[in-house]
Amino acid sequence: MQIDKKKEYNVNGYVYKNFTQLNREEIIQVWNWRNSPEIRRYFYNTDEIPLQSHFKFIYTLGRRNDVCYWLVIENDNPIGVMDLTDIKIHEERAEMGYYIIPDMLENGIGLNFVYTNLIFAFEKIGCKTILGGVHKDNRNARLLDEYLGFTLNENKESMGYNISPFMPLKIERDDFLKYSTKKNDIIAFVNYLKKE
Amino acid sequence: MELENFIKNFANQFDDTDESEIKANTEYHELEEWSSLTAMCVIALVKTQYGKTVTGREIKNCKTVMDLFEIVASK
Repeated sequence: MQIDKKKEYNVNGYVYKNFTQLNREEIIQVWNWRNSPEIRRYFYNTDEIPLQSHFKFIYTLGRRNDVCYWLVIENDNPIGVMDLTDIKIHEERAEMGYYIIPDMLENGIGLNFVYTNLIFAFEKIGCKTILGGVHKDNRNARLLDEYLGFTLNENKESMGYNISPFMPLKIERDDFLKYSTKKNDIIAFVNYLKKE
Repeated sequence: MELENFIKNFANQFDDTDESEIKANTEYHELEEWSSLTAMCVIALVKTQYGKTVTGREIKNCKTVMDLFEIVASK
């Protein structure tokens, strides 16, 4: 498992730009998205973050190895944010978080976005296990996560385990890569939804 | 590709919204039932029924069902 913070990773038509490489304007954009109610309502920490704290947080990311954040860009336009937290390099394990920016919500990009985030984490970063926590009220994210192969994590590894509205999830690289072929095919996903 | 047929197919992607609510000038993002999942159903519909690909950004940029019809028809 290896992360190059200076590198822009290209995966499936998306560019992953590390937060440590963002300019001032991009940092402020991220702060606005992160604080918008439709985004933060599904976070572990739903509080609004002051701009000064946000800048401080971004600054600390340069020397932290336990968390990593990327701006996800498609055709020069940002579409979301993806992060790995609680990174355990030697265990090849991390907790994944993501959100689509407010402007792109409800436009049908979720399947490809989450699928590509998993490909990025497993194939480019080298994670073996990814943990997650999905808000119980976030039906769309729950359906997506389940479709892509996340299962309920019975162990207390995920941060979401002890936070009441969250379901702790887990997905293994070998399982995902074995069954992931064309998982971002929107027709297959819609057929899956209709069976639910 | 006919507008009337497109509107009917579009309306079929909703479970709770009455078909009569969907017209050419309907601003679909404003519909109560509109969600990312409906958007995915519309993308899948365009692919299966019309053999064309509409992107999430195009779904976002269109306001009305007519706007979307015109994008799909132009492909």
